[in-house]
Amino acid sequence: MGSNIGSEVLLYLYGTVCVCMILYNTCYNVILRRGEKRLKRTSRRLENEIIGQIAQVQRGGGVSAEHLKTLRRRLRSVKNMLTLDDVLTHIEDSEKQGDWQNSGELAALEAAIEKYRRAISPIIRRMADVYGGRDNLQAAFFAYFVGKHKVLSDDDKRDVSDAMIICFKRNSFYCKVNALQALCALADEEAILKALTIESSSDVRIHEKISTEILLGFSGDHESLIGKLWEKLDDYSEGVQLAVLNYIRFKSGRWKEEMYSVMMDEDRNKELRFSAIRYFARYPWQKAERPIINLALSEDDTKWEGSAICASALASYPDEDAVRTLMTIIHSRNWYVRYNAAESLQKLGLNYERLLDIIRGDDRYAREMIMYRLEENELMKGGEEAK
Amino acid sequence: MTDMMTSSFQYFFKLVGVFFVLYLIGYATFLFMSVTVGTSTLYSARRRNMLKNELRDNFYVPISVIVPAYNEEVTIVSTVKSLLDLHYNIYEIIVVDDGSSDKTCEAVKKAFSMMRINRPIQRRVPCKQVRYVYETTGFKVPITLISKENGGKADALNMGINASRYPYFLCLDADSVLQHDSLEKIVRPVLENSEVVAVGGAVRPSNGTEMKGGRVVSYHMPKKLLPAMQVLEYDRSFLASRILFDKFNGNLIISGAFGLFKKSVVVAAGGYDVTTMGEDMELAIKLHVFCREHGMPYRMCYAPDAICWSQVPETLHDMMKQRRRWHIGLFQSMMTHRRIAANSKYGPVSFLSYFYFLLYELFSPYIEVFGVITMVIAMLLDFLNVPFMILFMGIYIVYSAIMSLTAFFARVHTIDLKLAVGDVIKAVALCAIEVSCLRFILAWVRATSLIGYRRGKNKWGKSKRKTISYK
Repeated sequence: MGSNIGSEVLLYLYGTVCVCMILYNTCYNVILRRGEKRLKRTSRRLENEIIGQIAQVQRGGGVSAEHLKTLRRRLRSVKNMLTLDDVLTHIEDSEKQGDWQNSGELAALEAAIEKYRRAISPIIRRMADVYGGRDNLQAAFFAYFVGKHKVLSDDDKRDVSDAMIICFKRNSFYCKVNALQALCALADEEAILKALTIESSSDVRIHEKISTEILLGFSGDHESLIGKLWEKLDDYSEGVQLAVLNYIRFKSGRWKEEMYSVMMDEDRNKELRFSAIRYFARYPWQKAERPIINLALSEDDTKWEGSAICASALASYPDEDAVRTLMTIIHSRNWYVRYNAAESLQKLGLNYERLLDIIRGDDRYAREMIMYRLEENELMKGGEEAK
Repeated sequence: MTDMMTSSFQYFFKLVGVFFVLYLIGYATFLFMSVTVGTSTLYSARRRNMLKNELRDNFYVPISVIVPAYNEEVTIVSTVKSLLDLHYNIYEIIVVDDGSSDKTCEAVKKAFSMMRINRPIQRRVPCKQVRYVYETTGFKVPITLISKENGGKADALNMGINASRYPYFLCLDADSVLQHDSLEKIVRPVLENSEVVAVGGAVRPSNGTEMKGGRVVSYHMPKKLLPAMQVLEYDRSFLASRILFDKFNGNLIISGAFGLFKKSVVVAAGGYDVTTMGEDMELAIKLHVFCREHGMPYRMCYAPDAICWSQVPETLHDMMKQRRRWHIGLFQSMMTHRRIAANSKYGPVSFLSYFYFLLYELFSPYIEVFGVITMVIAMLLDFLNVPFMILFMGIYIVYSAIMSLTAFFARVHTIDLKLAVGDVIKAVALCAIEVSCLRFILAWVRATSLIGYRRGKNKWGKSKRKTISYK
């Protein structure tokens, strides 16, 4: 009897769960659909209002105070911020891709849009405080908005930068990423330095590739930013240093002495030194060639990574020393060193005759590498012709 | 029958009854938790993406996409074409033909105008000999075709790893198609957390789907019943259990149809095991073991919005062969790494994941078949309360069906697929059949799969392929 009651209780329990799940599925789908329809209606209304205001500005009027008052109230809802984001994106895309009859028409529209942006700038500044007190998702979205749309005047930028630093301090990956992007869009050098200092001691780390990409999107003077980053480089964690060095590598060839000192500093993390070697692959420098050759020729098996990277870098040094070095290290015991050396010889444009010694030599591995590179040349030529 | 025999039988059936009640409570609880956790994670992820808490497409790591193929002449060209439509900055495509007896190689060579080349390949992980290598650079990304001696899928994947140039590799089945943003999405966990060594994507049955330029242009439930039931099954298992296990870094499978791996860690762990049929599960468990043994902080993730569309068997015969292969692979992986069972060094991977797979995946066909047999005997001996049993089975089927439907609809909504009314009705009608009839058929197939498995091990298994509808 007891076990029967127990079994029945179990059946009723699972039956109840079934009913609840059916109700959950039905209600959630209904709510979801209704929510989507409502969002679409609200979005269309707001979009029409904004377009109307821009058209009014284009006709010589200004943005109405009533509209600004409404916007100040409505932008407290993240759904309306999303709508504003969509509208501004749509407008920005139309500017780039629109079918303009003449450049005057485009210039008039751009001026009207710019005037609208200036008009809403104080509102966006106020929203920085509003969204600064919200959860991580909404704070990150606001940072994304600031980074994407250039709506802020110079006065408002300063306040919003401070808000972005506060956002960056949150223990949320996307708050950090979006806030850093916003700071780069605002071109606030000091704030970026502060953010990277915070990043160096944070538990939530941004991958150095992401940091590098974001810094490359800096909208101000890159040389000025790089100068300030160099001054503070040693204060940062190694991950941040690597991101900074990679950023400099992609942006400017004017920092050769500084990079040389990183490359030659044996106490530095090897990834930082490798980044410096890659810098000299991109911006060849006579002074750097000899150390690169020496490292490439190193027979220390523990330094194979450095040798391999140096083998790649020597592709940028079209002189006899580099060629001789590559023809030596193509016989290396390490596969990656051989591979990179062969690739560099290919890039230096050495032909079959010049490579005869290797092709006819006893080293089968070196021969295979070189033959592959020569065949690849043919393949690439064929590919270019096909295109 | 004597009184003693009768009471012995009664006692036996009582014990069996208690066992099955506990077993089913465990499974039902797991199913409930996994579906609720899975659906709430999907809806949270949707909200997160809507609020731009996501990495955009200018963030990437270079990837080698490895496509092992055996007798895939029907689908391989569509698969490679779909890979050329990916919105991704740096990647390469490596097709590894594992000694096909059909025209797989010829199809690829002709479609992509490839040239033979003597490329040196470093053998970092074991694999069979190369026969020849073809390359082309006339397309968006480099495409390499390697023809090798037959050695099985794991061997082909190892060859792909050896030939790959980039620090991450993605394994993709030759009958599968990626969406334009699949690479971008499967890479996100790696960029968010540098400890991530593997990421599994979501595999959905492509039967009934039409794609153009890397986007789904038309989606319907497959016309045939069997693939339609598999849609429900895939959504339930991918959505539910993988997301739940992901919460405590306990995923024991990174799908072989679509998985991203950090090459250096896989090479250090020895690559794919060429002696097993379940190479995807074996590698995932091996990575857990390797990282924990070496004290490496690591994470293996699941990216539910990184989607791969893959063909599923349309006939029962093909499906039975596939499930047989999967069960043998499961058995081999569990036995190879049995030391992680009840081993505190492995934490929840041992006490939750391993035991779940042992009890509810490996042993479940035997338990279910035993249950059916016991029920029949009990009924014949008049020990069974038939109306109660029918009610119990009915509630169980309805319960499982509702969980499947919850997972299915959550999937559909969060990847913005539009379903026709007919498809909704089909899904509702089929879910009960899928969790009852199909499940018991497959239980029997899996229960008998280990008989004579050594004779047929390491075979790819032939399945009838259909051309992929990709424009």
